[in-house]
Amino acid sequence: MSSVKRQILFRGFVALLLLSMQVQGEQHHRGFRFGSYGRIGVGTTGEGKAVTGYDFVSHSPRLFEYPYIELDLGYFLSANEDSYVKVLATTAIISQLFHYTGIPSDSIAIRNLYLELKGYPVKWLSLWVGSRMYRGDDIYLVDYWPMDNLNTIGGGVILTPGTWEFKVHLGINRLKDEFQYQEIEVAGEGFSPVTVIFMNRQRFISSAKATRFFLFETGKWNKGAKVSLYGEFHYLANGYRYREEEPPEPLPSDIGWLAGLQGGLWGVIPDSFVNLWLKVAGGLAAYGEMAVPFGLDKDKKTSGAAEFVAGLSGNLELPVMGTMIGGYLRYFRDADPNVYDIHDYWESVVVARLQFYITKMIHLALEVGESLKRMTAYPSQTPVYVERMGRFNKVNFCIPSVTHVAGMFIVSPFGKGTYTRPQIRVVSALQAPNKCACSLYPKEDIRSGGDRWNENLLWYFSLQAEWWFNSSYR
Amino acid sequence: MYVNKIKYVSFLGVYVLCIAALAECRNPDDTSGGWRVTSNVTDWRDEIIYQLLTDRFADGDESNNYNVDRSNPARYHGGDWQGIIDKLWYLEELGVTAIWISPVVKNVEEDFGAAGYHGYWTQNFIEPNPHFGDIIKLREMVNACHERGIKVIMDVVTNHVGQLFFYDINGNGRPDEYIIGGGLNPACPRPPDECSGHPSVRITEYDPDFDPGGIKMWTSLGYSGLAPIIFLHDPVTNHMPPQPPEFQNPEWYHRRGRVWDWNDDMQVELGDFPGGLKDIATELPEVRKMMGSIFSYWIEVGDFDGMRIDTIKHVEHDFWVDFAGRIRAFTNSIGKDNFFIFGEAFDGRDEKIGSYTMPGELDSVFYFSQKYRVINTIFINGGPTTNFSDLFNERFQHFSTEPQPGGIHDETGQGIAPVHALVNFIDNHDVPRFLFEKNDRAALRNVLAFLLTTDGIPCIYYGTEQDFDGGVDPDNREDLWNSGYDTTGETFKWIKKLIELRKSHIALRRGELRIRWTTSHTGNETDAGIMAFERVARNEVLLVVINTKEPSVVECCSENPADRPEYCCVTNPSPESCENGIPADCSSETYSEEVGAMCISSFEGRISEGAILVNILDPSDRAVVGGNCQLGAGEGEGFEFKVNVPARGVERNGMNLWGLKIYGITY
Repeated sequence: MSSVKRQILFRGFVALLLLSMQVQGEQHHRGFRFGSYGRIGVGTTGEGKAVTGYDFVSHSPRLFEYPYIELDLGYFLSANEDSYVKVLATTAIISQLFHYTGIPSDSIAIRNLYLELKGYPVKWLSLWVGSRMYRGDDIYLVDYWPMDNLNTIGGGVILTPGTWEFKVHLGINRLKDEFQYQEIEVAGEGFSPVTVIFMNRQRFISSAKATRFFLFETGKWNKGAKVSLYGEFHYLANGYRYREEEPPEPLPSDIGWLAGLQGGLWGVIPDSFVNLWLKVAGGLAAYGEMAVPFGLDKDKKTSGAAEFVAGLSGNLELPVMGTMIGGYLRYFRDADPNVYDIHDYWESVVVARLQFYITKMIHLALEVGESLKRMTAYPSQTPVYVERMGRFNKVNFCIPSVTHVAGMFIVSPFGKGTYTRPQIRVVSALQAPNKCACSLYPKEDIRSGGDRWNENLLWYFSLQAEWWFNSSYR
Repeated sequence: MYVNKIKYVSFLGVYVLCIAALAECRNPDDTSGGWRVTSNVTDWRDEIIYQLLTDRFADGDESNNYNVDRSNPARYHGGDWQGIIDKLWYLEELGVTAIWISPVVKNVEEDFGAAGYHGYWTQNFIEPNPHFGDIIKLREMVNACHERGIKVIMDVVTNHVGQLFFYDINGNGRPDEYIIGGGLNPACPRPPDECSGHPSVRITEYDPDFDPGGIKMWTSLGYSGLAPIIFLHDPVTNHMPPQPPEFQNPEWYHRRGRVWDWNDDMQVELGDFPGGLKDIATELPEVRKMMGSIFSYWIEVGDFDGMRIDTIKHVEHDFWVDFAGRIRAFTNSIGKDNFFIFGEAFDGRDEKIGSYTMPGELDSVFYFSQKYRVINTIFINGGPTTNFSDLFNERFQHFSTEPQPGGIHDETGQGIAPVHALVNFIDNHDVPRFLFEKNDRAALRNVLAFLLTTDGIPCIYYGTEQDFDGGVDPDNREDLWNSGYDTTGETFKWIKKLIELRKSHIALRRGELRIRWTTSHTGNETDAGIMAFERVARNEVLLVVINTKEPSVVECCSENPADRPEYCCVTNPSPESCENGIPADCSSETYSEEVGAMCISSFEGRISEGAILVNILDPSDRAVVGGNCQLGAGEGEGFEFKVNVPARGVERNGMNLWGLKIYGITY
């Protein structure tokens, strides 16, 4: 296969893959590039209250998420078809917006700031260094990257020989938390104390991913499959944490690991795909690279922590409608010895969205979903006094779950397609938690509900907009 | 379209698999046996209780170490129910058969810099203290104890809640502490009313002094009606309104302020406990019903075997009749047998503490009068041992001699009267440890011998086995982990040995106690410090002889050989060097000091075999048992013998000269 053909195929694949996620692909041309992903919404209950959803699972349906906006600022230098130099900075706004809160201090993060070289010195080689969100495919409906999703400062190598792709990465973080970093005040030479760094330990995160692509129609990337193997290794240096009036607390070094498998199929039906994931993780990696581990074992390590994930994401496009599905089954266990623990749980989220194309630009959609979480401990430990019996009921084991149904009126200027963006949506949604889900919240929380079933329903209207273009999807 | 169907079927299949997987998850009920309760006690007199402070016993779970400050004795230190599970081997090694743990309910987190680590500052009666674990962990701990034959006693407080409200005396809606009045000049030569200013009065709205008419509003214009109470609302320190919400009714509190005259029974029963612990109106029927419900709930959820009740003398007697009746009815209804209800009346008056064992009230109380009149007076201060016999003789007048209806019983169903089930203790979390009062390990072992051989149920305060010597609260609440859970120490081994002895002799556990020897002598008087009593069971009689006397100074090194006692050093009457008044070259075989001799008539010839348990203090076994007493007429027809008791606790060559000997008696 000639290099030109291979390049065309590669570009075709990238374009199609990004299409499947509805992220417009990078266009490697010289010059400045602006891109963005955003979702903004505002809603109200029938009583005029703000929407406070039941979000007890780790990845709630995207429909109920707060606004999130990414602004990509990049510059490309493209020498030829096979090579480019890219500098990309992605600013993310992660909060409710100023016009809603009146607080002019939205949380802003720099989620990308890196330099990538592709095609130097050979066209199948990419190198990058910098701060990067570094990830694979997601489950759109629950906004979850179930297998590979890292945020580090580091560097990586990407090799794309033929229908293979190999990615290796090494990154570091040192979260500003007293688990990894500690400043203390000590006596200075003068009158004022001076601040010194007492603990400063870094987490090293390495990952490797191998993907094999299979093309069902020779030379065409619009119908195919892929299989990915993925692994991570985490290492955290030891340190000492300062404690007032006590000897420094030794914190041991620690490790974590992760192994994942992904299978994908696309194009069997045009513009359709399905992805499946399996992931197991242990130690530090079970918590995620940006999390401060909790529930440590007696040695203050994460050895006993574990995570298992099975994920599914798919899309089926038909002339009159499209169907998106997404969901995951996840087990998590922290490292402490408790057999029954609110932090040891299974959780499951399944969401399906049917989108009917009334006209090319006007769509109606119906989304249904179910989220549940089964902790090994009792969700609520507050018994209720039963006046009639003169006794407190014993707390009972139950599984918190919430069902949601949403109807959407969608304006899609770029036409049909469940992943076609931008979209403006008018949403009417209903969340119906069971009593057990309500009991997860303190009684003062508006989500703790009432005694009657209809007091626990959350019904609301919202206006939503979602877009992406030139976005740094990965 | 066909593919579409496949996709939907696949989706459905995956979802069903997910749900099926979830359904296969372990249910806590399966392991914990649900909320099923068990009966674990045959006879409470067979039990040996070990009192532990959950926060200080063992830290088994780092994840609940919130707000822990081990440098401060009044803050949380991290112990929890997982820690108890982890250290059950230690309790088994020691041999105790029951543990009394700290109150399990959620407390005020912090009040004026101190924390509710002890558990006596209830904020929420129906939720567990998250510092210790959750309900499942509690049950897991109790189940683990039961699997090892260890019973678990819960600690409950019905008298008060924590510092949960303030009296809005000045009506400004916020808690104040202030001083009013300019103050009189104490040097003023004239009558005070001719001096300028008013007396200074300090007012604290958290904890005002007791007022029999109730705490009133007050301004500079004078008193008005009752001061409203306002519940605090500070989630950080968990000064939150009490739970369940019924306790947010002001009528459920006496609202009379803090006790300041402990001799005034009205104050004691109706006043707030010092520290702003608000007194509950336990006379109200709805309060009584609620208290019964709350602690019935905990008994069932925790599968507890007994209940230690705090501050019982601060609650009226009628309440205890009602409460004990409710608890007994409930335990009976759920099939929990032999549930033990005993209380703490922190009072030295025998008749006072005994009054809570009257018919319908508690199965037992802590034997505080013994703590003061025997443990402190005899074992710590060297007082006459007649204190023991005098107190024993009063016992049958002050404590109920009739079993409580539906109360504790033996294996035949025969009820056990409170007078025979008193909970004996040397020290606890509210008083200085024994070694703080008397820094003498031999004396500690001596009093332990008494604790584990006398009539009643022994209760050992955690850390005693590790020679902890803390003073008053909170210094007497040390972290047990600092001991390394050492099981090789002399005191640990001594307690273990005594427990084994108690377990192997039914007479020590259930036998009748008959006093055989006490004396009014003290100091260096003949037989001073000697006490002897029998424990008589149907098939066994044991005589316990204890010498509580301080070791006297032995003048073995007097320059004048004639001044040297002949028993001082048999092999070397003229020592050249001395150490602590004892010849350095004496061997233990040649040294003894006889300080007491008793003639005891016992057994009355009815028992073919028996034993004398003598807490002697000399490994040379110089206690002499023989039949050479000259008893007067009318002393009985039984076997007569003489016990010469050697000196107590002389320490020499790094070895404690004490021991325990059982003499078999053959007739």
